[in-house]
Amino acid sequence: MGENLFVGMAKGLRTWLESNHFLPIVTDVFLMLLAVVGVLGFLFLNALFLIYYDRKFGAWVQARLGPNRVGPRGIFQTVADTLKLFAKEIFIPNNVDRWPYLLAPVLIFTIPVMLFLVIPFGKGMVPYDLNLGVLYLVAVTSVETIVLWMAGWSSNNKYSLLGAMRSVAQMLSYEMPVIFAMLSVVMMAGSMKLSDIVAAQQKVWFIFLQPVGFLIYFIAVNAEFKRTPFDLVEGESEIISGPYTEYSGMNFALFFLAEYTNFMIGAIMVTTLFLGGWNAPFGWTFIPSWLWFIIKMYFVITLYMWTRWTFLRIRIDQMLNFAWKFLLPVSLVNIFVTGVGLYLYRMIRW
Amino acid sequence: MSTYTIPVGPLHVALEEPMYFQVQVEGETIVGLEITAGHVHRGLEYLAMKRNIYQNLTLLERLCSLCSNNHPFTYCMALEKIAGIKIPERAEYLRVIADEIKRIASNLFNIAMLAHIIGFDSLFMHVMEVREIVQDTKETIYGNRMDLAANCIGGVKYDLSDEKIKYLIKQLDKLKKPLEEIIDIYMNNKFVRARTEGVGILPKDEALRYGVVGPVARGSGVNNDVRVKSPYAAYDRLKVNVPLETGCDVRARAIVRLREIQEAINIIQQCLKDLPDGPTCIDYLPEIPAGEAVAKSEAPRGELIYYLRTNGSDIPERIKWRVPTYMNWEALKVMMPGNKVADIPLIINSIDPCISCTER
Amino acid sequence: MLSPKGAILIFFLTGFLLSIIILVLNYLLSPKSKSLIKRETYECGLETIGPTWVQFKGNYFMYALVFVLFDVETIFLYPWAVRFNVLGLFAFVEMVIFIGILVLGLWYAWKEGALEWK
Repeated sequence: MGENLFVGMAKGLRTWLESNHFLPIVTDVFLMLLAVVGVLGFLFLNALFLIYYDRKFGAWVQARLGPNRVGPRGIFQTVADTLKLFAKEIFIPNNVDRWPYLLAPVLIFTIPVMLFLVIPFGKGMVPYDLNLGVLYLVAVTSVETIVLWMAGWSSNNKYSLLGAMRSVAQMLSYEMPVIFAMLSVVMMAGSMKLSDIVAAQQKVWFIFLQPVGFLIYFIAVNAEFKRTPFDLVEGESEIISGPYTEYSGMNFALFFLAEYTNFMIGAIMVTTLFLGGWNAPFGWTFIPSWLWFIIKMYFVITLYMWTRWTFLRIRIDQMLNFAWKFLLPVSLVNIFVTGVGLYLYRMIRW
Repeated sequence: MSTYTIPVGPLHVALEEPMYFQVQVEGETIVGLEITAGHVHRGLEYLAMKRNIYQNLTLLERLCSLCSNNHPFTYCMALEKIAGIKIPERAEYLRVIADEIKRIASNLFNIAMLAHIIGFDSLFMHVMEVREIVQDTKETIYGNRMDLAANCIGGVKYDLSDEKIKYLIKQLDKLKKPLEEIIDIYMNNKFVRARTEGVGILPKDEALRYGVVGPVARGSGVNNDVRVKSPYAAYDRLKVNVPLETGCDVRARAIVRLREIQEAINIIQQCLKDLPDGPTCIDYLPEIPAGEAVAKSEAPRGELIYYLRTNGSDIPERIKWRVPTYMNWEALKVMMPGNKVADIPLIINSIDPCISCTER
Repeated sequence: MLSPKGAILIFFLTGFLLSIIILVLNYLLSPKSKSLIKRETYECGLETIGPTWVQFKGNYFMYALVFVLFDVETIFLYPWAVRFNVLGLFAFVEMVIFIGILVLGLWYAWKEGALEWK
């Protein structure tokens, strides 16, 4: 019953709208808007919880208490923080490049929202199943580089500039392993549609067929979304807060929110590409597919947090060397091996 | 033109105290460094010359937090030299114990900061948690977590009962195992090594040229430990091993500090073993004649020198001290160039700067 | 059904407008104080030294150039990857050639020191 909860609601609404003779375009736009609202709800709720979870997990790793004052076990800490940031003054420092400076926080939050367009949340639960889903994800993610660069450059602050430079170098370097790891998945699935990729994993998850690809992707996505050990962009003990240094109030909060949403999307992408998306393992379909999706997402998120608190921030030369001299060759080899493997597999089968 | 200047400090997230460096950077590589001092000048030298010798004990203890014991300690030694006081033997041992406990706490703090700067917050918390053992010990024995108030003219203000000795031994044993673990992490963890090895190199000849002191010198293979070279208090009766490293980099300095903690535990245990009986302080109020004296001791950061001149009154005529950081921070000019921006706070931290004693 | 462009546009506009609404709300709710010092650039509490908008080191751009080359090549790989299972031997040979070119490029960039961080 839970399985078709959201799909059924959307279908019912569509039938109702159509039976009331609305224009088809109105129906479509209305349903798409509904999907946006659903996505935003998912985004905000999870981001709120994720920030709390991150802090609590960090506290647990370090044998501290973590947030424990606002609400039971500090669960409303993030809400309180957000409200605090709402009451903070937005000010534009002198000497900034005004329009890029103002536009950057707006765009940085737009990007993750756009990314959710192609995510299959559950069986039949894709806001819009793009043909080029994988390419869309790669393309939209890399726009973030430009936005961070806008923020860093326009702030007229040397720490911001350094952070922006780092972010560009980092995104460029880790884009390649990400693309190659995704490529191997696309080869296996024979489609760039994310729902097809999920469907292709019905029997065997790609993590078992592409273990190397999974590792490359896991690491490179961590770098793309700038979490420790790749958090040089912020590098709080070196360059204050990187491109965010000159932002205050909600301006800053949007960057922060985008960061956590990106983190979430990283976990979602790992889930979708390698962990079978919303497919239930062992045929345990009594748990609805969207719940499986969330469970897997949080599993990956926990893995990332674990990574975060176990490693330290590496230096920029080490970061670049790792990307270009290790990850990239390995991912090339991985593509080659995948190709040979697929070819041989087909030969044998025929 | 691709060189530009970034300021590090006076208020920077990774610096414990306000200090100001102008770093010339090309891309991400450091090419030059300028140090500007004087952000925490509090006029303490002047204040010390306005108070009498007893009040100064309290004042000098508040000079700095992490090496707070060494200042009154060295000051007392200078005074005792002028007045020709021979302090009781038990007091000498007790002074060493107080000093070494402070050394453990200070070095652990520096090591923890290193972990924080390289972004390894879990390790930071872990080291700080281990440091809590020392802090608890200090609170139990001296009644204070930071300033011990252990020294007074002609002896010490505290005594160790058998119970406290037992407690101290227990706490030291408790410290040993986690310390081994921490040393293992700092020496062998691949990531920590990647961040610290070959960073901030100070070759031995440069170390000698700049006259660096303390763990910075010992990390470059220069042994100038005051405890060995010119023993004071009870150090001439104790066996002090000076850990030397030849790596000359941030890692070498960190390991010297860690080994020194082990050594400090060792020294305290020796002290407790042959702690003589007797009074802890002279039983009369000494008269301080006119005269001058220089006393030195090995603070956690290196050699601390006190110069004191009295004129027969109870207010010192001139009091001046040279702190280890003063010698060490000039050497930053050798360590910095060629490293990355990310290494700036790391290298600064590796000399364990104590700005409030340096700028007074 | 909506066209893909329409769907993307709706998502883009929602994100964009929502951020603006959040910022405007913040602007309306927050206190405002006029202070010149407050609006100074934050560089560790002191005035900035020299201009920030300087020419940056060429090192970064080497990486960017290598990246662009690789990126363009990999985009060609995607359609190939989708049809890989259908095309058979032809696709396989093509893959060897393509990856050969990529490896050659990487080797050349490596040899020429474009991947050395200085």
